[in-house]
Amino acid sequence: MKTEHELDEARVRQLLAPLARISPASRRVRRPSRPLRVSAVAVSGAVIVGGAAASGLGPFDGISAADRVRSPEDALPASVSDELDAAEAPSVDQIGTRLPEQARLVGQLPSGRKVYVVPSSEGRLCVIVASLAGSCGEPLASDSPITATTVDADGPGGAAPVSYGVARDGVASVTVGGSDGVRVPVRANFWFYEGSADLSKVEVGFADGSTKTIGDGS
Amino acid sequence: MDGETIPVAARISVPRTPAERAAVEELFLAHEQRLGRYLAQMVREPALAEDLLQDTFVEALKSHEALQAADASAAWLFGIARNRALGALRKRRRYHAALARLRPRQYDSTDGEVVAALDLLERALAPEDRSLVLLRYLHGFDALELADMTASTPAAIRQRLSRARRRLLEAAGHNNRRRR
Repeated sequence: MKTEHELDEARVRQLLAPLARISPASRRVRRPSRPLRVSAVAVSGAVIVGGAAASGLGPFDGISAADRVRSPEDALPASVSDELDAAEAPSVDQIGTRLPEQARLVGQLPSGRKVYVVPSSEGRLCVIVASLAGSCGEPLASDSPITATTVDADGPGGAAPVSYGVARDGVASVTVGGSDGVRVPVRANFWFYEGSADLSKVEVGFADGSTKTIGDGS
Repeated sequence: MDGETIPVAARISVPRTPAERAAVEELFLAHEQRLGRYLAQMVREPALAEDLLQDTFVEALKSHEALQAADASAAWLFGIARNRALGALRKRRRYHAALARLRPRQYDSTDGEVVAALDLLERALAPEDRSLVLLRYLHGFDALELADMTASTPAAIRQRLSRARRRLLEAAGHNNRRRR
């Protein structure tokens, strides 16, 4: 004869039995970032460092400068929104469509150009520089804590290139060119370096003094 | 001219040798379907469940040295998946986005009994207890294994399961003389 405990367990199993029919989740195939086509300005050597497994719970997660209530200064200039619209891929892929109405201003380059982060409909993180460059990738994560992009708008012989990116909370510095390179501070989740930079190997410095090297220099 | 985007170093914390990676992959593949079903049962959102499954795999790869010490490999993997699912649910609640993210529910349109069971679980139990009940009664882990997963004791797990059973049965409208 079954005990009350055994009867309860049998009832619970009966209640839950339909859940065995749920289709199991399968792992997603992740693909590399693809560039945005923002403008006709010459851009060379843009690099994104990123692509870690993310929670999928918001591309601004861990970026305090962006994960906040939107303010008027976050509004993308109409010309930039138009460029984004014009650059949309004809079909929706894993990046999805950019959501300029959710943009956040995170920094400014020495040239005065403003840098925004923009989420995509598929939860990706896009970094947009007004009328200059933009790229999308996986949201930042603890093992891929920064984005890094370098642009040379004027090409060889013109104005110096600039490198920039956004960083997760807790990142204090970025050293471009590896541990022997140039160290620049991260302020309010944003960093930039004016000059030619090798982004194939980047060292990230954290507030607790630890460092992480990303890339192999190749 | 357009910018060229080049992915660099997607991940740097992976097993040191191909053999180590293969061992983790083999273990994961053996349990992948069960893990995927458990995550789908927990979060009710296919896209999030897929991400969590991938995260579980990545974390298993990073933590492969723990695998060698684990007595029950399946329990170890489910422990990772459980932590991921609970973390995601906590974060989802924190951002007041639960309802928005639960819509549309792919499962809702396919099987009424499944939806009813999921609704009952959500209505009756907090995520932590929901996880224990699913792992115990659908995935077959005993109190000892659940205690290992949750850094608890078997006695505490049994007590918690008992309370969860009672709440679940009450929510389902089952009468039980002991509880009057």
